[in-house]
Amino acid sequence: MALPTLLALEDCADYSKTVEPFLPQLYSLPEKLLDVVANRQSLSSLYIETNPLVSGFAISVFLGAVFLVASEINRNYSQVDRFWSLLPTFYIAHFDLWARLAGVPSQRIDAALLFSTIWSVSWFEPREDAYWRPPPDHADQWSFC
Amino acid sequence: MVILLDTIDLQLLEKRRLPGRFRRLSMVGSIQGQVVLIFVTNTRSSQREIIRKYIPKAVFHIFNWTFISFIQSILLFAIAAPTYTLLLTTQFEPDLSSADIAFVAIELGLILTEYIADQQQWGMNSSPWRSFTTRQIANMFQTITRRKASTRIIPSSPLATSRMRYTGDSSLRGSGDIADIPISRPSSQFGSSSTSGRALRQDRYTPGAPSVPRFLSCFSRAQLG
Repeated sequence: MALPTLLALEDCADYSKTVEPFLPQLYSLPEKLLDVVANRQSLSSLYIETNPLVSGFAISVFLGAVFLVASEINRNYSQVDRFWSLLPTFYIAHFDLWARLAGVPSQRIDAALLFSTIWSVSWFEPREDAYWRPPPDHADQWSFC
Repeated sequence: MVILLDTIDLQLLEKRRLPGRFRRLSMVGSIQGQVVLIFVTNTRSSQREIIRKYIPKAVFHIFNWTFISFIQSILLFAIAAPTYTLLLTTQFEPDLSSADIAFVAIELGLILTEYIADQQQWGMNSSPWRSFTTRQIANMFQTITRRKASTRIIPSSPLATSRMRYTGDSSLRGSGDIADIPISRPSSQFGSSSTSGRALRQDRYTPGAPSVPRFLSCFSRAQLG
């Protein structure tokens, strides 16, 4: 089972009950991915059988490797900066997708995804300017005169 | 042929910060009959480029291998990780409660205030008045009010506006009293005694290039007289 069976609501935030039992899944994940490559197991069944926190962490490590290679090839060391506002929404969408595939009620995650999507969208223009670009060079400040 | 240029590279190339209109300029031209498209991109984080200037190359590579690529990526996952707790709570409360809806509404309200506040802060930071000390601004207004009543500060025709724009003509520089205030010249004749206001405006990327803000030229004698 990819989710822990819990007895009380408080247990949902208990590391030893929710995360620790699934750490072995993380260590055996490369092996299982090789099985997928060798067609011994389908990717979707592996996705459903793996704890979503473990698979999400694995995705983030994999993306880290992608960013590293891209940054070394392009000599541009800001690869994460292009995606940082989208990635949390991507991971929440991953939890949502997992819940839907595993048949777990997903309404609360839908609500989180709604909030996160709006948050991501809010980081596009024009506020993006303030963080990505140098300040304007007094180009159009004639109204002050 | 397509050429991609990053603004940071352009600024290093030009040894100065480019005026705003060059930021996203895409040029079309031709070299020996071949069409050349130049796109100016803006994808590189300037802060990191500054760090790169100051630390040894090997150390920066270690920084890239650890923090920039992997740790940042994992931290972004950690931001989304509380969704796992939400997922687990569905075992006890499968349906969306009114508390959940209220929580989402509060969060959306926070996004709205954050959006407005960031925009206002950006506007405040990019205001040209930040270039000057309070004393300098007071002097400007004194100079304006001391002038004759017939002095026209606001141009009446669009043609006058275009003539008044700073065109890079060096004769405009230093022609007026207020326009002589150096803005981004670190080692100016005025010394460093009154640089507190200027330090805010200090060029963060390629310091040392003299540039008079365009809007200042309207205060100069040549324009007003």
